Amino acid sequence: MARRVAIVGTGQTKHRSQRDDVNMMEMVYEAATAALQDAELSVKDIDAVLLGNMEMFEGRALPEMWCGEGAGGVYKHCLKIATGGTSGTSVSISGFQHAASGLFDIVMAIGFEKQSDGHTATGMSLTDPFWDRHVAAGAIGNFALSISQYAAARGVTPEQAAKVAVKARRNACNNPYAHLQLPQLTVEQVLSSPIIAYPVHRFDMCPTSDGACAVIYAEEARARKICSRPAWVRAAVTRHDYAYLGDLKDRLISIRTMRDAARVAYAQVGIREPLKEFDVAEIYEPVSYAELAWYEALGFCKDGEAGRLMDDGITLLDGELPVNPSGGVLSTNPIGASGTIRVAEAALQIHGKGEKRQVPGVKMALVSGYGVYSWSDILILSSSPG
Amino acid sequence: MNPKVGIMGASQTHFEASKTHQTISEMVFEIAQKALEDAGISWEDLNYTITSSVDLWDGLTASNATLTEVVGAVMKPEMRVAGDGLTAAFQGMLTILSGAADLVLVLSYSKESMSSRWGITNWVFDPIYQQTLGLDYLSAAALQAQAYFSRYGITEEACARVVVKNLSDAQKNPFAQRRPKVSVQEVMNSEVWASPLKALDVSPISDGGSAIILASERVVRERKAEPVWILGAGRGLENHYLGERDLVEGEALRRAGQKAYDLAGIQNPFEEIEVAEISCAFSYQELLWSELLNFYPIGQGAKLLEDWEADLDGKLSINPSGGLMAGNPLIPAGLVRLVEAFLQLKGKAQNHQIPGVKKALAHGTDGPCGQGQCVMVVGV
Amino acid sequence: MAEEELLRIPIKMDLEYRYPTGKHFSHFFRVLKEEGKIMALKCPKCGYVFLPPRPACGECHVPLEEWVEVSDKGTVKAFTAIHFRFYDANLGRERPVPFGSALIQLDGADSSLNHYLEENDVTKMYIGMRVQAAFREKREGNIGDILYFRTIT
Repeated sequence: MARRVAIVGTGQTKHRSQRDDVNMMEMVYEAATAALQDAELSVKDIDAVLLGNMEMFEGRALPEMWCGEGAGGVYKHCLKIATGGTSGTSVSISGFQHAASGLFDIVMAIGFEKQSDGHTATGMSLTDPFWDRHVAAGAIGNFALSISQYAAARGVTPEQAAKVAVKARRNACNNPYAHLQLPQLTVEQVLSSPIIAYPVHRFDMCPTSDGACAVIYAEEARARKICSRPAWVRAAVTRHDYAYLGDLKDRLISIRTMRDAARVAYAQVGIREPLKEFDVAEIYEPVSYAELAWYEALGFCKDGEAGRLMDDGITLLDGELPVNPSGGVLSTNPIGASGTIRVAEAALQIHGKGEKRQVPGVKMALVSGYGVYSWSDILILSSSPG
Repeated sequence: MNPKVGIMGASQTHFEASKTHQTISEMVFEIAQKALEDAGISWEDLNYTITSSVDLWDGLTASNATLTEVVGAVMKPEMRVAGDGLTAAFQGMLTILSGAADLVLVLSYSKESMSSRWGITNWVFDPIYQQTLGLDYLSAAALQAQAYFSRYGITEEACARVVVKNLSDAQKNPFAQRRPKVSVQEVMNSEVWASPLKALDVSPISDGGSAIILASERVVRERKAEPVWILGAGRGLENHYLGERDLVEGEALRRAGQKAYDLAGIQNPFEEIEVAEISCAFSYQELLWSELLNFYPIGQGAKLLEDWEADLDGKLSINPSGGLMAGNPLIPAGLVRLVEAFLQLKGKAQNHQIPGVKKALAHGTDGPCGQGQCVMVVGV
Repeated sequence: MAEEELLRIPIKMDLEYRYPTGKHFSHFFRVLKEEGKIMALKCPKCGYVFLPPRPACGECHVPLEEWVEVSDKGTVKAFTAIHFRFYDANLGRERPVPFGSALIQLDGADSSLNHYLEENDVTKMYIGMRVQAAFREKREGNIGDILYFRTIT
């Protein structure tokens, strides 16, 4: 019988564009240590260590060989998950599956990326050599293409997108781990920053960061002993889709993977009105416009209403459903960790450890992961095991 | 283990030095289709896919992105274990035990002909100390071999006999990369690549892959299937720095094996298991891994050669498929071992069938000279 | 005591890859080179026409064998002008900016192709724009044989 599982601790590094003071293994060690301290566990208590990372960004192969011991993986069940941008949520889902299986009681999942170790744009350029590599311009070019359709179809304006960017960097100021903290950022500043790929301005886009984030899962009996307010994993759903750039003509418009994953996850938990029933959402928004598309895909509002939702302040820290009180991917983006950070940030909201970014009374949290143009992960965490 | 997960079907490619006629996605589609056919299930029945592949071997970032449509993952879940294929099978088992799925495709592949195995494996080593020394899997294995020889008096001749054994058995394996039988003398005379390892001590560069279909107990019951059951599994990791490891008495493999045996209720693997398919990219590893898996006492793995030559019934057969010497790429090799174990248990191993197989062991390894180890015990 | 300088170790990755073209891509590039035609694969079950070609339809899981010719004219489904100096792995250097890029649905195909636009002024691009492929004079049998798509009225 599959067991109930909760997140009992989280830890992350202070994310920055370049961490010269640690190498990648030491950076993993920092996050692992922080998570163990948070859960008041020792490395001996961990039965399995899972790592998540996009190794081509650092030019590595099998980075768990080098970095596994930073997470206490020596002599343990230790392996690496890599699914592009969703690696962070993928490894989190694998961690959940390990603990739910009955074979491992306490499991650590760590997402990490040390982008400054490599050349991100080169890493991004190593796509399919026959078709995409010739013309693709990485994530930025790809998003820009999708956004041109999305904006035309749903009528979102650059100002509304800029509001998302402002929300993210201002929220980040409450998050001691966030990379980009810009308390004074304004919509005008976003719109006057250089265009990197039309219509995306520099401030609409996420940074690249060095960082790691660990979450610790425990099966039910241990979770109740370890944690006073465990964050129970109520749903974990994944959907993938075709990946050639031209395959999904209306990717941001339909984002069918996210819609379907959310539909299934909501049904599993009995969520009918996500805007009302979730207390917080940590969603994976690599570019400002994407967050608006996710509002529609996740059912926070009808298609075409995302801009208005932003204008009305519904997703601000004091709004009906705070979205990304951590500052989101727009503020912090070590790619292999970005998904795990969403899971950790949602969990710590339930733990009540959000400090300045704490949303009061969080019982139900939504997490989304996104990557490789259209892959989606949805997790639902709750203060009640259901 | 309770509940159990069953293997309902399996497939493997004909391994070749270079499959230039196929793209990776064409090769993967073939592997996936054959596994589904073997299991008698349709693409629609699948509810999860676990893949195993490594970006640097594929020459692509997020290489599993190009495979979504050929692994049945369009609007379905897929997760990639970026390492050993047997470990992907372990993950697939956990996916089912966690309740997330009840029919899972696990698929692993690599096309080593696309680039340089030694050039790529240099990038597994940490960039601070070991990578810049030019270490790769070959030189690391050479260090391990030398340590093993020194400690227990293992000879190069014994290792040459391992190669002779495997290539002789490979003649009977229709999927093996075609390689002629060799003599001890030919192995001993082959070019020294990294002392004490010679060219014929090293498994060949290979293209190909394999897949299995995993099912929950409930699905097995509903379909009245007769699967091979996973009885136990374990995975372990050594330290990364070669100087911090006991290169010979690898604790990670001992523990992984013991974990698998404990779950499967096996006390004496040599007596209770009929076939062991173990991943040995280098000849000496067949002796060393056999010892660490408790088939033979430490230092006495060469006894397996006498047992093979004696050709007795009812004893433990090690690598009747010919193993990696018969040609398997490193990443999927562990899953190919599981496929071979499956074939033996189902009585479908054709010319290399061992009679009366009830329990088998599959082993996979990744990282430098066995840093990562995975063991699975399966049975009918 | 002065803080010690933090060191970085530079390592250059230099690996050569030989990517197999396989059955379908080979056919596509051969026809492109020798006849200047653009071919796509049609799913026998759902009728979806795939460009680029690939081994199987992801929805129907059937192998794709039926080649159909698609037009060199198409409609822009998405567009952008890139100002970011992106490193091009094929050229071995950064691409000159700004350059126009689009998803183009060629007449007869269901999926779109990502390719360059001749146009790099974003005010002259729009969804629904009609474009036509401009071919390299001496075709080599790769996607670069299509230089870009130029706007047609």
